[in-house]
Amino acid sequence: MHDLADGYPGTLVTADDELAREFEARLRDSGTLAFRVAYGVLRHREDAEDVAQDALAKAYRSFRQLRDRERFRAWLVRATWRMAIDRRRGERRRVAREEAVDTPGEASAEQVAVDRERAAHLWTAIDTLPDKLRLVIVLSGIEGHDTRDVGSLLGIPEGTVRSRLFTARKVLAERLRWLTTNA
Amino acid sequence: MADNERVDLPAEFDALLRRTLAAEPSPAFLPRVRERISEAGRPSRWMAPWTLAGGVAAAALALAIGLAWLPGAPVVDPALPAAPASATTASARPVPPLPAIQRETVRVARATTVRPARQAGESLPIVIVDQRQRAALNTFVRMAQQGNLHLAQVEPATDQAIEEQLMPIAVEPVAVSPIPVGGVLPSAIGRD
Repeated sequence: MHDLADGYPGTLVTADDELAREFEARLRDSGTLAFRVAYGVLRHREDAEDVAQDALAKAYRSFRQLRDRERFRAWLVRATWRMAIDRRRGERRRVAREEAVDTPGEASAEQVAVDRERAAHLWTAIDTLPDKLRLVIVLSGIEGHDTRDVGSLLGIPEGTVRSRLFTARKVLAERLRWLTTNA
Repeated sequence: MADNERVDLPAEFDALLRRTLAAEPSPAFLPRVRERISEAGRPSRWMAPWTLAGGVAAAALALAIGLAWLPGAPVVDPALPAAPASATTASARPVPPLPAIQRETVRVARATTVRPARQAGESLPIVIVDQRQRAALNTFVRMAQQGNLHLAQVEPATDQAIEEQLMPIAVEPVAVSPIPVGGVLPSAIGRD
């Protein structure tokens, strides 16, 4: 068998090598997505990285059943979301959440303060949304995701995504108005 | 961001949401994931739990069907009336005509299916046997239950003992006369 393999002019890979290669491709493709989903819940970089890392490790363990790209991404998003929610529930006492956003480098101190306040209002409003509305808002807020992508990730029809997005944004707008006028 | 659903949300919040969710993980993120995965080893070769459960169920079903169709597995019901001891030596008797066997087998099969003492779900295969086989099996089981069966004392039969018990087979010679040229008339058959 070894002689045969040595004489073969092409590349010989084992099934495990092939699996590892495929997972590496998925990791590069979806690693950031997992991080952003977790960050959308936790708003804390280290925590979000930890959760995304856990979710990716879990995905690797089940990778034989998740080799399809779309299936892998959908599974990863849902698993990361659940794990991030669980982590957040476990850390309710944590006070210093990273409400800041990536403000441009040239922004003034006043602009940074305004952004911080807006971010606090925005995430306060988002956190009060029901889970299924919140997930749609976060996923559609991640750059590059249209309603079809979100539907594919969540395994729901595009029309349902649109409907949830409409409701979520309406509720958010009302709460933000209330928060900004009563701040 | 989906454009069609921008309902009433102030533009500054939209931009803020997009900026927040455009956060990048640290450069050490992917290497840490790779390191963790390499520590964890290869993906599990085990199937998903539901696949495993399905496989076990299918194997159990196949086993049950196989047992039901296993040839030569007689059903012996101790509750059936015991046959007389002489029935065990009746194998040398001429074989009864076919209709008698069929009647008996039908009766055995019915008795097996309607017997109330059998537990529900305890589906034993129905095996059709001759009435003398049934009687012999009943006797065998009864003797085993009574402790009268001592298999250890049975001496192995030797070839010589078997040959002594065999009846000599005598075959009468058959005389065949040659057919005459031109054939044989039907009226001539049986005159010899």
